[in-house]
Amino acid sequence: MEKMNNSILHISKWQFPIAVACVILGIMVGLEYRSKNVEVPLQLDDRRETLALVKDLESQRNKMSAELAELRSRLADLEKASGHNDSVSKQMQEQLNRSKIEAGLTGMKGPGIVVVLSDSPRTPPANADPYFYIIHDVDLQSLVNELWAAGAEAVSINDQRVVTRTSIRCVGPTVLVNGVRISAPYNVKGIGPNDLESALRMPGGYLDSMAALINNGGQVTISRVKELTILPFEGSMVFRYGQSFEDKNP
Amino acid sequence: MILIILGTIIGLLIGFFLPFQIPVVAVKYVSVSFLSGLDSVIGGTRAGLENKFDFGVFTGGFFVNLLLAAALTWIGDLLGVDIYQAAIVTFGMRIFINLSYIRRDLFEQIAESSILETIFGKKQGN
Repeated sequence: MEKMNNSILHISKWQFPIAVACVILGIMVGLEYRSKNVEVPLQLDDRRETLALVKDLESQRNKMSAELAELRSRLADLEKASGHNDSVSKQMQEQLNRSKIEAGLTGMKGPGIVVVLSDSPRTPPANADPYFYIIHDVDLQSLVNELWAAGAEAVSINDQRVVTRTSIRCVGPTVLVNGVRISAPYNVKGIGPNDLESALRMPGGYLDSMAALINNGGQVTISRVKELTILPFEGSMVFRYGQSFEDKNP
Repeated sequence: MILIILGTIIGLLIGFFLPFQIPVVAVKYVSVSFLSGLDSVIGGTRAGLENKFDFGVFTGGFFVNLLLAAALTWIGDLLGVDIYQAAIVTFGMRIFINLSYIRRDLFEQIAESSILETIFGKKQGN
């Protein structure tokens, strides 16, 4: 019996438990291989492609917004040309201007505050949460919210005007405002009453909520400015689904 | 030998077509456990070739090694120390040592008999 062991085709008794063990190991390898496959979408090549796509779309958007600015200025010329004819069109002109101001389509000047938020220059230590070392979309959202609540009349983030359909959200290390990528330091301007600053400095208010970031070396500086200029909204709004109505009961 | 290869292939097929996947957290545990299991299998093969195979020792060692390797990895995760690397080094060394013995055993057996006998086995009549 001893000499039978040397055959490749021969099956000895001891090979059965080892074969069963091999089945178990095979199952493990198969499962492991499949779980590795799941992560494939996160590969570098894929990200590069997406990045190229984003860059492409951004350059397209820049071109189109230049076109939009040109069309806007032509429209303004036409409005002016038709404006000084009779009282009816003059009234309409006034209404139009008012609506434009309300929609944030005109620049604004006035007293207000400038809040500068910057990320911490320190690299977070291994055991610390890197979340509290950078500024997030929520920080900007709550700041803008606080400014509106305190009576601000116009707000912009890095010269992106905050209007009715503005969204603020994180995309990787940058923040998208009005679909435009901006990065730290964030320059938030607000035109409004003197209370704006004290609203932010209120105990338990906005500045206190940023304590973790400030402790880690991030900066939040609030300064009052007598004459502030806030640029108009430069994007376009397309309404595809909603329809406007005047009456209270449509 | 053919039984062991067959078993591996069957296991791989089952693993590929099982309806569920292991969660990402468990991937590390499975790979360390796999290494310990491989060590047991190769040690068992060596014992079998040297006619020292013991069913109890092999089965016990196989499952205890699987669990122990996973437990070591888990404790390492708890402590923040990569203890599983110790398991990888130890099992890797043992696998190579045992493989060298298996190789030697096989060579000796081939030298004892002709190649035809090695492949098809000795005739029962002899």
